Amino acid sequence: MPKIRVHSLAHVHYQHPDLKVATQFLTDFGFKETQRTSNPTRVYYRGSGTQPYVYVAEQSPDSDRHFLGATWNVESARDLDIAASLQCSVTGVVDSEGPGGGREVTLKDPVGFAVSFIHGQKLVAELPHDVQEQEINFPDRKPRLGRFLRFNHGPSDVHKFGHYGIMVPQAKFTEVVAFYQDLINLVDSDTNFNAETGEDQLPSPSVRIVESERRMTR
Amino acid sequence: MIHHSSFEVQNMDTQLLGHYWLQEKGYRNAWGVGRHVLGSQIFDYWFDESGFILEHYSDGDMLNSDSIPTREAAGKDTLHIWGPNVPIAFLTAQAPERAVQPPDIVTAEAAKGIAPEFLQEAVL
Repeated sequence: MPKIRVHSLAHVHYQHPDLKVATQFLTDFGFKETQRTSNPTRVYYRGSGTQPYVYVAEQSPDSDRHFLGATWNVESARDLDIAASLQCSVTGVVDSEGPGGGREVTLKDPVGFAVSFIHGQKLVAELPHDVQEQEINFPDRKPRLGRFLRFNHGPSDVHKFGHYGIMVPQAKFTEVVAFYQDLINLVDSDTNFNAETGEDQLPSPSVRIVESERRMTR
Repeated sequence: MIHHSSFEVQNMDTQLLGHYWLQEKGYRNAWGVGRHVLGSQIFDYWFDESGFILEHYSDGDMLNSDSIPTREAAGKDTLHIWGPNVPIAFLTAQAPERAVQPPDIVTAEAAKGIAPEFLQEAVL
């Protein structure tokens, strides 16, 4: 079975028991609200990058919080067919309800986390960056001459969804890592192990996407 | 369970402005600001109001297919090179009950809601 080829992360999906206080935090964290829906009650947030949304906040159906998984951008529609053909597929290929549309498939990993793949989303134009000046003056090299740093108080604008970390039982660790590396074009970046037991453990291995033409991203 | 989701921000200045914005609002910091070793990124982790951890990061490493995977024993200096020692609340992803509000030097208001058991540093 060929691997699903991903090129970046799209968004995460959370349910909150108190959506009002959750969304106030998300605004203070630096997300920009882009769409609100009812039934289910959802708020979609974007960053300054080209993804139509990077975070979905939804009203929890009960009094608990829930993480509903992350979604990866795949290279082609064929990757969705690969995902849908797997035994761990739970949805088949369906239309995405979020801004920008597209088609998506959701799987369950060996410990029950949902992991989704999306293709054909309509991307958005980047938002202007709130950075006045990138140049740094060093003791021996001062490129910023007569230009001043003047900032405003406020949230740190989010640009994109970069990575996520899941905690799995030590007994399932090797199986889960193998599941993801067999499923997706991910390779090891770094591995840490427990010096006493020799077992691989948190916070690694961290993995990264292998893209074409020797270019890789974390 | 989910440990955290991480979102890129422009640079260290905007990251620190965002850090103090969240602190002034009384939100609960999970760990940061600091500089990771693996990946090199500047990190800043926060508990949202439901208790999930979200991260701001900037200035991470770029790797390509020539990059050789590393493998080392976990230890005191594998997680970060500068910044606060890693709190137990971060390692366990268990949010403290109350927000910790810093003292306000303008109104001379004392710090509020400090829960010392959650401010303990993990011993690595």
